[in-house]
Amino acid sequence: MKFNPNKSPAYVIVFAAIVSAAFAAAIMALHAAGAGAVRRNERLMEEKALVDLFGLADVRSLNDGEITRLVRTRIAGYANAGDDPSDERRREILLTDPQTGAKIPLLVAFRHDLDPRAKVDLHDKANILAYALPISGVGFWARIDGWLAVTPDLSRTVGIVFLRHSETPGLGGRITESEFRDQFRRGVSVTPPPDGGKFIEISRASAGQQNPRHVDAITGATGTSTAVERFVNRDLAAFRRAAAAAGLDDGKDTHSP
Amino acid sequence: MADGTNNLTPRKAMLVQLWDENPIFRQVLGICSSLAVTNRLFNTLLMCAGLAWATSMSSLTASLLRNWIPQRVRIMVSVLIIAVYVIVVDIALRVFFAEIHKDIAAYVGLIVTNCIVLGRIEAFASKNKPLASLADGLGAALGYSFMLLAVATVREVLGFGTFCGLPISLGSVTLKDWMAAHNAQWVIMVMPPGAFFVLASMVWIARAIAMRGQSAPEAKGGAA
Repeated sequence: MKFNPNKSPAYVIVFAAIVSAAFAAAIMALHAAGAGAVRRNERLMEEKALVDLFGLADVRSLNDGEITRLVRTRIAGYANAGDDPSDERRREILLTDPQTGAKIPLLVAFRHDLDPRAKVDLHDKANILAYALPISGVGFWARIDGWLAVTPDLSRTVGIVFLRHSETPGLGGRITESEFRDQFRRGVSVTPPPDGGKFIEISRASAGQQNPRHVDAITGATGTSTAVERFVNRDLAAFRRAAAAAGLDDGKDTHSP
Repeated sequence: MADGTNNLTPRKAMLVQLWDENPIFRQVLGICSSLAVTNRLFNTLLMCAGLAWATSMSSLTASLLRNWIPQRVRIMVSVLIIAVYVIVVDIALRVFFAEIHKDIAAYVGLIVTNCIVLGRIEAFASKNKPLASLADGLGAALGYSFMLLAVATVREVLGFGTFCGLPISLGSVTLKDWMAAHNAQWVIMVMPPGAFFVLASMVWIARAIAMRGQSAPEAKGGAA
């Protein structure tokens, strides 16, 4: 007699339970097997992004070990760098926005290797390559997280990276491509704007070729471009207030427009 | 029509999906993703590879289990099977191609909702032998892929002036630089509406070719 799987309700329930459990177990096992590699990859990608952000080296010319070494020896404030709790370089650096009381984590890249036992001097501007502030906000679809690096006199951008986003690939997702990010590497003016103005303006390419605050928007991704402009300006304003309170903003805008 | 037909050889099952029953221009399945992912050829390639894996393996698994799956829970089981293979793609990308995963993670999840995958399980794998089902799933994915790659090529070249991210040389300048200098980027090709126009044109061309192929033997037969 041929087996009929539709006859018994009990069979349907047991079959559904067994199939669900078997597939779920297979996925969990696969996930667990790959978890270590996934964590390593994510950390390495973040380290590459930081090296690229500060322009410490061309990441394509370095192996993984060299990238990790550069992050550990030249960047202060990156808590994920190494496992030594006494290492001063990985101690979190927090600024406080006096207007909102919000804490702003800061990364500082130096021109030379840092001593792991020496306290990090945030005011050593002669040896500081750039500061980086976290930028985050809601993009077209979901949250975008990244870092924006600025010169020690806080006048121009040094670079920008986006670590996490869910923008549409090929459209808003192009914020991670060099064509968009290189504009920040070339140096966009981020001096305090006139009242009501913006630190940076992301708009059509033809709209602001003479404007030192201008960044070309991404074609076909107005929503993402507008969102990035909004949260970068908000985070830059908070950072300027916090930097002034911490004595990092000495008022010498050497690259004022 | 191949759907529901038993005893198709694996070769025949694959060939039918590639052209006669092509998912894009015959069955009009998988159109959502074909509009979403085709402005960059490289992204499209990755999406097609992921879909080929998910469709062929899901069809194979569903066919192996077809005599035990109760009708009342068959859709649930099919979606479960598809989800497992899509998660395998996601984990494999995270482990072996982390940089690529960052760019296409949004697409990978979309494979679960691609109607071609569930469509082939329902229409073919649930009634046919495993090897034929595997070939049918792979054929459907390849048929989907060649249409999408054609659309993506047109959109990327006209929209960005590149081919698979690589510059196209026009002698002393690249097409991308020439477009930028002459403000000649065809912006709509980059945006989703551009996919409507290109896809519709491709479907028109493919159907015209298919119809010519059908009418030619008839004309020949009539003359004889």
